[in-house]
Parts: sequence; C-alpha cells; structure tokens
Amino acid sequence: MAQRIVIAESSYLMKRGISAVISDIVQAEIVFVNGMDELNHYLETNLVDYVFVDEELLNNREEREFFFQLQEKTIYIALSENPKNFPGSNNFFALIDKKSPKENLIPLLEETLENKPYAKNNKDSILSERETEVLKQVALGYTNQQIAERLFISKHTVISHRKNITSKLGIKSVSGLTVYAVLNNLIPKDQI
Amino acid sequence: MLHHNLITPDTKMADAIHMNYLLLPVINRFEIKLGFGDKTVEEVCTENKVNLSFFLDITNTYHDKSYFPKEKMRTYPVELIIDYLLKTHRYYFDQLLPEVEAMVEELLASCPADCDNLGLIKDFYKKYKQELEYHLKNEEQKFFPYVKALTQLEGTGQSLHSIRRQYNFSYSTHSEEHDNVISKMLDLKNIIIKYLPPNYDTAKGNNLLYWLFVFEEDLKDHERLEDIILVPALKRIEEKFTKN
Repeated sequence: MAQRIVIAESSYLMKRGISAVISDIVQAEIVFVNGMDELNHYLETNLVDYVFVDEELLNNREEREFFFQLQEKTIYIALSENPKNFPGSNNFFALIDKKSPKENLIPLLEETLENKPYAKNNKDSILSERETEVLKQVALGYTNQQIAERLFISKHTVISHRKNITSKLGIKSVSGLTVYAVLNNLIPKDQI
Repeated sequence: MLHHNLITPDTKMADAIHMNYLLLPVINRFEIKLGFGDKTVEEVCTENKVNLSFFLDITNTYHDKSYFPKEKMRTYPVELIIDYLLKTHRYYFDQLLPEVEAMVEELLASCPADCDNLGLIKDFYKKYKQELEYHLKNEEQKFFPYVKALTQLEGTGQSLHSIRRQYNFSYSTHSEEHDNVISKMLDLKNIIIKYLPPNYDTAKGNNLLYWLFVFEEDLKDHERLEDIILVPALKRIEEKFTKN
C-alpha cells in the first residue's frame, strides 16, 4: 500500500527534492500544501501517514497546537535548517536537518518511513483478549481508575488499551463502546 | 494547493448548486431560495441584501474543505457570523434532528424480529440528540450573547468580569462539548457502517447513513467557524479589556 504523505514546505526546490528522495525509498502518494492553513484543512478530511513540515511554518504557537490535535496516528517530521535551535521538538517523530549529507539522510528516512501507521493498523484490527476485557469494563460504566483496580493493571495501561480500542473500532465515546459491546454479546443488555 | 473550483461573484447561482448540491441548505440560511434563473451570485446577493463577500467565503469554505481564508473571515462583524450560526441551529433543530430521528424510527419499524440490537442504536441516537440540543441551546443562551455583549462592552462602564459572570461562559466546557458532538457522530456512523445487525431494511439503513454524513459535514463546518473564527475574536476582545 502506498504511504500517504503530505509535504508542507515553501521552497519549491526543497519540496521537489524531498519528494524525489521519498519516492526512491517507498511507494508514496505525495501531496504538497502551502502553509499551515492548507495543511490543517487537508488533515481534517484526509488520512495521512506522514507529514513533513518546514520548521519555518511552525512559528505560530496557536497553529502548532491545533495541527497536532488533528490526527493521532499520523507521524510528523520536521525539516529544519538549524536543528540545534529547533524549538519544542517533542511532537515530532523525527527532525531532519536540511543540510545533512546523503549517508545520514537516507537511513533516517528509511527508518522513519517504515512505521506505516495506517497500514499496520489495518492488518490488526481485532481486539486482543486484554483489550476486550477493558472494553467490557468501560461498557459496564467503570472509570479508568476503577478498571485499573479491578484488572490489577496501572491506570496508564488502561488508558493505552482504551486508545487502541478506539483506533481499532473507530468508536470513542463510552456510550458508543457500550453499544458495540452489547451488539457483539460481550455484555448482556440488561447490565447497561 | 490551487483552488480552481471556487464560487465567484460571476458564477451563476444555478451553477454553484450544480457544483455542489450540499450548498442548498447553506444558501437557504441567507434566505435565498431556488428559482434563480440565470442570475449570478452577485445579482442574487444584491437582490436579497446579502453581504456578497461573506456569502462567498461561507459557501466556498463549505464547498472546498481546503479553502479557509482565516484572517479575512476574522474581519467580518461577529453579529454577521452569529446570525449565520443561529440559522444553522434552526436547520438542525427544525430539520436534521427530527428528520434523522424519524429515519432511525423507520429503520427500527422495518425490522421483522429480534430488534433489541437496533433498539440500542435508536437509544444511542436519542441520547445524542439530547446532548446536541443541550449544546446548541447553551450556545444560544451563553456563548452567542456573551460574544455580543463583549463586542458592545466599550463605553458601557461594565467590567469584563461582570459580563463573564452574567453569561457564565466557559471556553473549556464549550470546546469539550464540541469534541463530544463530533466524536459521537463519528461513533454512530461507525456503529452503523461496521456493526449494524443484519435484520434491517437496506434502503432505510442507507438513507439514515447518508443523512448522518450530511449532518456530520455540516456540524464540522459549524464548529470550525466557531473554533477558528469566533473564539479567537473573543479572546482578542478579552485581552484588550484585561490590558486596560
């Protein structure tokens, strides 16, 4: 499956360049956007595996936060002229130095592009036993804290199971998960 | 990205609808009705005393999701935006919410036997409808009046604090409600698409799902206007008054 990639970069040479390099490594559908507004709106309606963003577009804090809220599974990669001075790189999976030589750049890109978030997810969308257990507890109305105590796991683990459940089923709300649980006979209807 | 396909003042109104029929309820919010003949968008707007530039931005952002001239849209008077949003609320209250409910009822009524599971979907929708109505009413009673009061604050001698208390508006609750409204709509769609029990009538199921998609698009557009245009405008006015 081709990787869905968006490149937000203002320099024409840079974006043609990065897209040529990416195409050498993976099969990719590449879309170019100009600026953060276009990026945001593209991400609102399209599932994307990777977003390459020019750091110069990231100067506005408000926009930066907004765009990271949009897609959880998407991997963000910053393109920087001067990575040492790059602010707040936590949200980025990788930071690519625009000046780095080929022998550093190619392995970094290969490693990054092998994560394939959506492709991986599609193959494995059945809930694990533990996730099913957590889902039942959610459907029965227990809070994360209560579930942690009942299943002898940490609250953090509960939260991470819930994230996986939501991404596999496409259902986020407790009431939606409850409907799913009853429809699939995980819990009896009279218990909700 | 180039926007080849935008509606311009010279576009014939009829062509705009041919381009995207989902714009119909949107143009209705400007009190514009069908039967445009060969009139252009500009002509129809002038005739109906509609702000042309605002009309174009609203229809184009609805039509092309990648088009959103944020800075320009922030220059429109908030009353204009609120008026449009209120009309959108009316469309939800008077049309979408009751019509979709009727579709859910029909789907259930078409089920020959063992309909408990379909009943769950109906219950989910009813609860969702209540939550959405609550959210919309909250906006009408707190959010919009608060925005209007703020824009008129200058010279009244009232303090920001007293207005805030009067309308009891909270950014975080508002944004949580938005997330909830959007994500539950997505849940409902996914439950139907992925997990609908087989004992249902195909045409009725498809019809319901189609309208949920339409509803979701409209809601997203609505929330985007509020979150990206109205809320930042509000914050700017608040800042201005806290500095003084």
